[in-house]
Amino acid sequence: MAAGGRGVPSPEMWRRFRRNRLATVGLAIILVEVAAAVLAPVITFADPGRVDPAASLSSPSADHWFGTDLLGRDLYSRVVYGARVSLQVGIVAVLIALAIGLVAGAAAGWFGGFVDGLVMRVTDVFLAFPYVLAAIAVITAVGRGKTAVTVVLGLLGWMPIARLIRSSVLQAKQTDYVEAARAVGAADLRILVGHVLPNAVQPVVVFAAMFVGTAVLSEAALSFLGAGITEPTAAWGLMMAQGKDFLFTAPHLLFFPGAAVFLTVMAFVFVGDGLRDALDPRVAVR
Amino acid sequence: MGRYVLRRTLLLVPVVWGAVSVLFVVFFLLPGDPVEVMAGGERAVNTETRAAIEAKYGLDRPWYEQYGRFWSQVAQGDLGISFTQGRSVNDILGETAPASVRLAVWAVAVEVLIGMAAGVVCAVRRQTFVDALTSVSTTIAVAVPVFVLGYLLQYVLGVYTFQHRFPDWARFPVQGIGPDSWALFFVPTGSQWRYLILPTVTLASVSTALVARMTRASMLEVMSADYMRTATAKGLRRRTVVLKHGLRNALVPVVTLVGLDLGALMGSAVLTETVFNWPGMGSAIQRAITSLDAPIVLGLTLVLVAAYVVVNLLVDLSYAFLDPRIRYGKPGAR
Amino acid sequence: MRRTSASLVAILVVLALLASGCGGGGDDDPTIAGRATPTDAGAPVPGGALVDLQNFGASGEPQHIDPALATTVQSAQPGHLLWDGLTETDYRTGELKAMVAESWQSNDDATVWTFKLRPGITFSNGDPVLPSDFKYGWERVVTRSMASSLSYHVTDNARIRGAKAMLDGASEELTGVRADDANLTLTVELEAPLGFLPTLMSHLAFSPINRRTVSQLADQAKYEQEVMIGNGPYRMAEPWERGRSITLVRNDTYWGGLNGHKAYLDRIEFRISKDVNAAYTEFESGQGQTAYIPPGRIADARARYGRNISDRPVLGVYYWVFNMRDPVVGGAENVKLRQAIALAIDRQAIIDTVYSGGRRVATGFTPPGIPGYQDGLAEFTRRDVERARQLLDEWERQTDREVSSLGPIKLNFGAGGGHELVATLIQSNLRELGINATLDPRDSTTYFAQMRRGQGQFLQAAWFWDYVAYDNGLFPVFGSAAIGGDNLALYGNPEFDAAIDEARRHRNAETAIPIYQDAERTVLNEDAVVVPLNWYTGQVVYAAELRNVVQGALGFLAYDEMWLAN
Repeated sequence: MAAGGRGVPSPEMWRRFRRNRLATVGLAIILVEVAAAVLAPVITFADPGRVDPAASLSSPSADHWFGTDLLGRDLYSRVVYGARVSLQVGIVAVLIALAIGLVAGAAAGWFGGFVDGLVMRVTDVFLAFPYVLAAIAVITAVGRGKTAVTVVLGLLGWMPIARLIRSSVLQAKQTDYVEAARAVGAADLRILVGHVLPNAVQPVVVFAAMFVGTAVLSEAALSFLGAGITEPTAAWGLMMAQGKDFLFTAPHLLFFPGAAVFLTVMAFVFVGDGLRDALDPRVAVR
Repeated sequence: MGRYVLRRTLLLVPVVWGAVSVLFVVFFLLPGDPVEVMAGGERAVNTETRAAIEAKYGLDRPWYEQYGRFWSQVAQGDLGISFTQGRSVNDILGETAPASVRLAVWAVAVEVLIGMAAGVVCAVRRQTFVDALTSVSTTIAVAVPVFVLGYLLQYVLGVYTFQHRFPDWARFPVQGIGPDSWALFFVPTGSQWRYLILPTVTLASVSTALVARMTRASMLEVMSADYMRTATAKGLRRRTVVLKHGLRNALVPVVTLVGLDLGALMGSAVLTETVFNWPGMGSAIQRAITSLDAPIVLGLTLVLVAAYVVVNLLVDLSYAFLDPRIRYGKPGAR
Repeated sequence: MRRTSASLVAILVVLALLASGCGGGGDDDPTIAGRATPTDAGAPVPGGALVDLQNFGASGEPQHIDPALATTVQSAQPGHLLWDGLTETDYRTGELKAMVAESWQSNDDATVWTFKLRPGITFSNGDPVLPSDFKYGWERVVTRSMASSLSYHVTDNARIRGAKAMLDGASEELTGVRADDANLTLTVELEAPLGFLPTLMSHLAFSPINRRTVSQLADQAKYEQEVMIGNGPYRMAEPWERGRSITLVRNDTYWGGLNGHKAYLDRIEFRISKDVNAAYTEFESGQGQTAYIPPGRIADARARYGRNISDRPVLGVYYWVFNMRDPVVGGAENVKLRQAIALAIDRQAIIDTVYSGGRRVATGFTPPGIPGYQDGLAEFTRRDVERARQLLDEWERQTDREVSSLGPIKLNFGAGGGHELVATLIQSNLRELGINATLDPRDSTTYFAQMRRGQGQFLQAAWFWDYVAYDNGLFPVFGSAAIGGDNLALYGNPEFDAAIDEARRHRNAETAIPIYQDAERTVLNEDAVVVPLNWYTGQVVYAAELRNVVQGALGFLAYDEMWLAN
């Protein structure tokens, strides 16, 4: 972690991040959600899967803070447990995208030539696919479910990361310290990991933050189109897709999971903005 | 420049080929049996029927023959015959593509006009109420799922206004493309605009927000540049400075975004098309995926991917006109 | 096809109130008390255009509407308005009526049938409807290149001589059918006795086809895409607009049918929708006159549209069935386990929640409305957890297995049709017995194909009667000839098969009924193959100006009887 050090968190960055008040709010929301996801069994009072036909479609009350769904399941429990699902989907998907994007982008930028051409064409192919349709096609092939949705979102989301990494690597290759490291005979991989990639961290981190929000939205969209997560998993997107049919008769069905998705996406957008300010002093002029 | 264009154009071929081939593979991995679906799905298919269907569509041939036949048909401009509808995919393309193109173009028009205007205003009046309002509403537009927005519009401007006997101008049709009457291909005539407006707003919402944000950021960056200060110092009117010097230079990233969108919206409008029952390509492909109708999926995706990469190329080339500093033809420029 | 429904309960409540004489109280509900009946519909007014959102609004774009290819109720609905068959099911009573056939008779063992046609009936292009048009229509169904999935009606169900050979491509003619155009008689020779052939003839697949209009087409499959010519109360005015609509106009040359009048509505536009909720929203915004009520909206629709709802029972059953070849739940040794599962399921709770109180608890497989229907054929339909526990204990002792060590039982269903909610409820019911179950949703388009191959364990299914005959719910659903087809249980019982074959010989439907009932009891109780959950009812809401909306037992709407009041 010697060179540049722009990717390393510093008190200065934290100060800049904090100056963006929305970003702080976003971070707080995310922390609350993570806590809810972890503590779900402690902070809920009903099994999210327990059905109670007699209580079908109850409005919010002291017993059921967010009301109940069609099968009489406690919506508060389901929304809290849903945080687990959505955060898992978002975070694992971004890790998959990061892993693929990192390898592909670094290889393309570092080796250049044929490898670069090949990787960039593959990137183009993936970018050219209509995103939602490609996701539906793959999920139809492998079957619906949390794992399928997560993997598909990762598989279809790595291309911008690969491009960002590639251009960072290309820039870094021109710099003196890489030339110097090469001159003293350092191994390619070491130079790449030790000197080049840290420079690429900044834009990638910003992108990754936004990506988590996008993944949560995409899960909702896929559920709406019938290619998402399946019952009885408590997933926000699935709850929304079911709730949209009760917009007039039981609006809480759409409202609570919808609000959860909304807050999550917003929080990650704010945090992404904040990270941009924090990591790039040039734009921190707000 | 000419050689650059030629090279870029040739590079499109492997991209289109690759995308369609990947889909072809996905289709061979699908667990379903298209014959079952073709025969009606829920009913049994006897062996005679199965043999007849397989022979009719060449499904009894090995995969490489089917693959080869697909491309040789494409080379002759024939996208094949739909499994489920028994008619030419070219016909299906001819019906769905205009609906998609019209919706995409209008959505892009909305995002360019409203998004860029909002972005410029926010950049000029930074830290004001307008700026804050725009910032909040763009965030909302990004964070609310498209289908929720679509349903809300339907309920408020379609169902509620009808049930509460609002005047006709406040009632909008919530489903379908309506009379499908257009002048000069793009201009809705008669009552057509009433069918167009809700889907357009829904489809444009996210992109409008993104364009506004990007225009604002880009404008802020450009406005702090030296030549802008020079222009202001020369005593030019602020409006002239902002619009002529600022906007033009800020446009490059915005054009990229809008261009990508135009290419992507034709295929990515599935959610909007589903909510409003708009008969476009996205929902046709989606239906075809679930009914294992490979010819429709492959044929329409081929066209979508080709459209996307061509639009992309045009966007790249347009940089040269927008930003005189960019010139193509130098090797290694990109 | 999937249809759902509700307000039988409401009707029963009203009837109970009226019967007990407490209808005069202050809490009278005028919206229910004033339910529309055909008698207060006023005098028919010809004219007007109908925008229909219920048919293809509930089911989406049909794959086919050609009578030789249409496999669902919704896809057959336009065909039913475009064609009259030899016989037809009366919309109101479910009785079999003679249509184009004036009369019919058979030989003693019901293997040769002769139909005498009415003279003077024409296609909408003016050509007369002759016996050879019927023969041609049936030949189309078994023509190899048509690849029709309805061909089994001609080959395996009716078993018309020569049908198999045509389907194999070995013959160009349906040799078992003789068409005497001069004398207007049609003689049909069968390979096996079939007592209810005239009933089977009411199926759309047995419609007459005008050869002249078909032979003009290079590709037969294009027939439905262009303009089909039939002999019914409506005619196709313009080609099918894919993804948008199918439009029919009144056939002004129609002979009048059984009710002796031409249709009233000038024009019917069947709008095609992607989603039942979307179509309902379209109705709610005033864009059409009929809609199918989505399950979650029934209570709301009743409150808002009160009397303008048609919710007659239709002949369909929603059921779950065991894979009889599965080692965990199938086989003779697991009968008690299956009976216990059937007893554990809370059918009323499923109806109340998932279907908003619509539909009726099924007390057997065959629904009321089928001649021979008997209430309470199934022994294990009333929820009884105590008895279920006893049966499980007996099963444990018999098989030396334990409920607790039973691996999770897979509940299979096609994703997206509301079945996951039913499965979730079943899962919760089984948990009370200590039986562990998991949801196993499959892609809905390929779900049945997978189940046919025996990949299911306890699986969801639905059956809609094609014509009003007891046989139609047993032979194609539980007969061993239908394994790999609609026999999703992969149930093969030689005694059951023999009983059905015997019943099919009876020319008198009455004498066949006890045999069918016994066969059904075997499937429901002794072998415990199937768990019927509920019988369907229609759920059609219509605009106030639309009158005389009647949904027939087979699920078709009598559009030719409706009119728009001014």
